[in-house]
Amino acid sequence: MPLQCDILLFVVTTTEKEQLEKAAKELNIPFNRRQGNVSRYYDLGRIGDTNVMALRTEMGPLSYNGSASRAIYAMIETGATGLVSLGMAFGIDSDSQDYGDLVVSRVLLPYDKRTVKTVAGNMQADYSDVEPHEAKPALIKMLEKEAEEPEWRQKVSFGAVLTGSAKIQCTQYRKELVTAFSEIDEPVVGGEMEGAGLLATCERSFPSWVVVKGITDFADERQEQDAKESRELACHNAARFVLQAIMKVNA
Amino acid sequence: MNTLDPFFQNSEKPNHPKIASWTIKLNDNPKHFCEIYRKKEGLSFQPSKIYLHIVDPDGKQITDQDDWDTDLNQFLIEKEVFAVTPKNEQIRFALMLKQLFKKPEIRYGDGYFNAVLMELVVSAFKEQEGVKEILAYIPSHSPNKGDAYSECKSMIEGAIGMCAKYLLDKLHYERHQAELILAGAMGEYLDERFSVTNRKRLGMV
Repeated sequence: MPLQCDILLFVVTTTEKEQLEKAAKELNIPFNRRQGNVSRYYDLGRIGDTNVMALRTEMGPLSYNGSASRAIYAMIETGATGLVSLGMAFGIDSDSQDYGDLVVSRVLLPYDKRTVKTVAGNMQADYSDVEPHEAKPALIKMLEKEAEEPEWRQKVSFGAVLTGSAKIQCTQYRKELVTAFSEIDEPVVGGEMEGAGLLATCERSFPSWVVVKGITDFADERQEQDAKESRELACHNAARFVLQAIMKVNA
Repeated sequence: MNTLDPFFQNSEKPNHPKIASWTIKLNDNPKHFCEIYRKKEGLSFQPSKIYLHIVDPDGKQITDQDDWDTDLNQFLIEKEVFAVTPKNEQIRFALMLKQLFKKPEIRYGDGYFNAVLMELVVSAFKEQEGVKEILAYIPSHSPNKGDAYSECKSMIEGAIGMCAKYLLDKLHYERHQAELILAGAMGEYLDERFSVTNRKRLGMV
């Protein structure tokens, strides 16, 4: 049986993989391990009219097995035409977002592309070279439909997602990032670490990816503790949301 | 004089900045052709470009270029500007298919679009050079024949039909030549979409 699929799901941590497997089981979707040339995959079979597989990458976009290199090779190996990065994100506003709520990237903001300057003796980051990258419209449409379901209403924020290599545990820095991108069309709804790698897989005008992540923390001084307590819920929600969306395509 | 008059009178403004100057060049010089530049670089492509080559009355060739743009290409087709070679015409029409297929893909999703497309390709193009060689590397499954099926199929057929019509009616290829170009374009599109050549290059098949 060829190792090929339409949509490829990416997870990073053990919790993310376990929660994807759990969500698949709840929805009667198989989760069979298969070995490829570049990775071990999990075959979720044909969900509706969509063949789905999953794989794990290292945390962040940059390392040998990080999301960039894994996504490029896995996309080629499986012939996948849609990539979905699942897992954990930080929220940007604890008043309007809750742990376990979801952020979906209409656009990604790879904030590492900043210029760090000295202004009046102080260090200052200039983010004006960071350009928003639009996600794949077919995937966004599929997810928008699922977000209308009662189960997800008020729980899913579509917008701009910050993506970069930093693990942020600093309210001031999170606020700086959100403020830096307050002028763009899409509101900033969260941030994460692997989406930047997916940008390497395709031409900007024909994106292949979307990022769907559950909120585990608010990138503040409590980040580590919050993430520990809420990661299972966040990862499970992201996985279940995406699998249910795929199940309902053209249903 | 109403200040809105300019918008209601002569409202046909070109939707690409090059169109005005290229119109003049094409009208002044009947000998012309275009060239699509799409160079493979590693596992991906460099940004595509359109070159317009004009031969002036003295026989001197003048070239202008811009980034690939659907509207600019559409303008050149309406002006009956063919590509420098049939192979280059294939590349041009592969890019057009990529753009035209965006709509059904968004509407019906990756999996369903892939299934309907491949069913149609297998039934219509399986004996065509450029397509038959790569079909073995692209698995297909029978799509659900629900309400969406005929709509999705019709949108895909419409996109392919539009390309066929341009090849015959605007670019004036003979039917046999048009078929070769269309099949070649489909092959190029499928190869890129499903990473066939890249899979071979990396020894994955």
